[in-house]
Amino acid sequence: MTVRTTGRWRGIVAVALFFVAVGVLTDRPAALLVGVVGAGLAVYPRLSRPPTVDLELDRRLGDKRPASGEPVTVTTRVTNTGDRTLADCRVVDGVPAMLSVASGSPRHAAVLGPGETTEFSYDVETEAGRHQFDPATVIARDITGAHEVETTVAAGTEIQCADAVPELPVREQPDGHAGRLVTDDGGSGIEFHSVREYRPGDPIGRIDSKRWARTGELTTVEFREERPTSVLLLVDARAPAYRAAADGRPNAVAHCLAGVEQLVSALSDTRDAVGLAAFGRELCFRPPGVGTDHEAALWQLLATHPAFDATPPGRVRAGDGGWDDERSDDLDRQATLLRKQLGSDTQVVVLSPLADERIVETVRTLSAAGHTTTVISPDVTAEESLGQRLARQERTMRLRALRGADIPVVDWDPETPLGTVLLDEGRRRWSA
Amino acid sequence: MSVSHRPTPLAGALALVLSAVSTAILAPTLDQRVAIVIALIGVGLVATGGRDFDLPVPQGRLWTALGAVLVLGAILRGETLADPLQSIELVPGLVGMALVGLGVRPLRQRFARRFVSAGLAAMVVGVALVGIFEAAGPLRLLGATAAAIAAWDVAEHGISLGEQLRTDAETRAVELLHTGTTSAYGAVTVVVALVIYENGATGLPLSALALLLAAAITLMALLYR
Repeated sequence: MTVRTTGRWRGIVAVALFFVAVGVLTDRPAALLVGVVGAGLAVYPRLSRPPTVDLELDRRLGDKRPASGEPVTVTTRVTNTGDRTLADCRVVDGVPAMLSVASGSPRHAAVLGPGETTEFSYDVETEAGRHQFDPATVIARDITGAHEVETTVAAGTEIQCADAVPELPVREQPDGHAGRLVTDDGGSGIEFHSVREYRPGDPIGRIDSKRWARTGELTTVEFREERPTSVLLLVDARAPAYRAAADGRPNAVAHCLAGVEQLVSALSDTRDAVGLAAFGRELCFRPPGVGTDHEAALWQLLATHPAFDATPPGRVRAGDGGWDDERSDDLDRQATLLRKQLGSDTQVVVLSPLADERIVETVRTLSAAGHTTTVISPDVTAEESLGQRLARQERTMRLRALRGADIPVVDWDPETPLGTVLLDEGRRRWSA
Repeated sequence: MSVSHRPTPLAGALALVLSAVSTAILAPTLDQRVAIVIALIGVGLVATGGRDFDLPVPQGRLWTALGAVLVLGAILRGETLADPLQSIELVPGLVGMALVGLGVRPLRQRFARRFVSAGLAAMVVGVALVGIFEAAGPLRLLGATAAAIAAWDVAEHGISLGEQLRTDAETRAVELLHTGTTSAYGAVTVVVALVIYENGATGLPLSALALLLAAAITLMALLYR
């Protein structure tokens, strides 16, 4: 909660002083008296105190699981649970970053007496995926407007729209355990690989009994081993990544987060271990794991961790500590910390708009450290101005540099669902 | 759907009306009042230009141009009144109305507040001129000042609402309450000042009163920092 003084009445002191001066200099009592009115109005903001904000928020959705592209009506009710009247209570609902408002306004102002409720509703266009509402931002001013309290009110609401990612194509990897990744190594599995001499300790079921019956020789059948992978989804949420194609369009981090949410849903249906990490306001890291508890923890993290905030840093937002500009060594520090914690057999899928050179270096370092790395890069560049064309060209160069370093990059145009893009890419490039 | 961070329409309209009231309190003759009404209509047309309304409101470049012509005509009429004192009463107020109108339109988003403040300054100068040249009674001066400050306050409130919530949000109740409270407080201040003035303070020498007031205001200004 932030309490601010708006200082909007300060100029009235000047008006009061002006009239006093006029009255004295020209010997006009009436003008002097106007100074009294000026003074009275200058004191006005002193008569009120910053409001105490106790609010409850309740959000209702017209349809909790709509089809993609269908508008959903969101009705938000805000109740004043405090015992003071809020004379000027402004609410900006936390519409999920990926959803756009189709009609109505998610912003509302109301006068709220104790126990009173105000209600407003608007329609959002849905997109495939799971979308969580951010906490609503509330700005309450006192009646004079001299004090302003900014805070947030949360209500966990989410819209879930049919997921569009069928599966994440994982890359081949040197070693691991049984899972869906079919390798060229012999071991337990389904597909025949080779026959080799029996070694003590081989499972009885894998002994080739026919050959033993025929020749009395003990041999072991090897199958192509199938291994699960351990995937870390890494989101680039540093300040430079909050780029959008145009004003009012979702920024690249919002696209990345939507992508991560789809990938987490898709991966949790497999036996692959999924982890989550982000560079940004602070390093977020959750090592790969499996199971429902782990999955719940991932969703929790996506919803609440400051690094997974789709609002660009620097904008005024309650509870957002002074995180102004990224220090130059911050990314290196976070990347080093991440590499230290990361298991060596973990694949890394980086989601980044590739908005600067430093993330490219970081990805290459990760890859050089032995992590099988893939980059999914939402394309938020535009073509209108010279600067935008330059940025697009630079991004193309970065894509090329990464591909040159043997790191596959999925160039994702956010207009297309991520699943379609991945399927296309999988058909074209991945052998897994 | 276009994103509009303009000042909210209701607060803008109320601010214009209050600034017209402030001017009308200073300028009592029929000619002057007619000029004020014409200016109000003109400023209204200029301020509605380019906005989205549910109601059929005259807008478009032609209407905006007509509004500008009306405002300029009213100011010109004010300049050419037979009695120069009547011009002094009228013209600063009309300029103030026009500036407030440009602020709530706004002409430039970044300067919305500056236009409104300039409008207040013009109206305040008008009150001071009337006070100096006509030795006018206190009621007119006090009422006009209070209305001008209320107009400024309401316009600024509308600008902040527009910035934070945009014009398509439902904000009417808040705007009406804010306008009502500020106007009521202004009226109370005027009444209190008049009561003090009528009962006693007149006997005091002006210099003593001035010193007292100056001391009080200095103290207040210091407290504000």
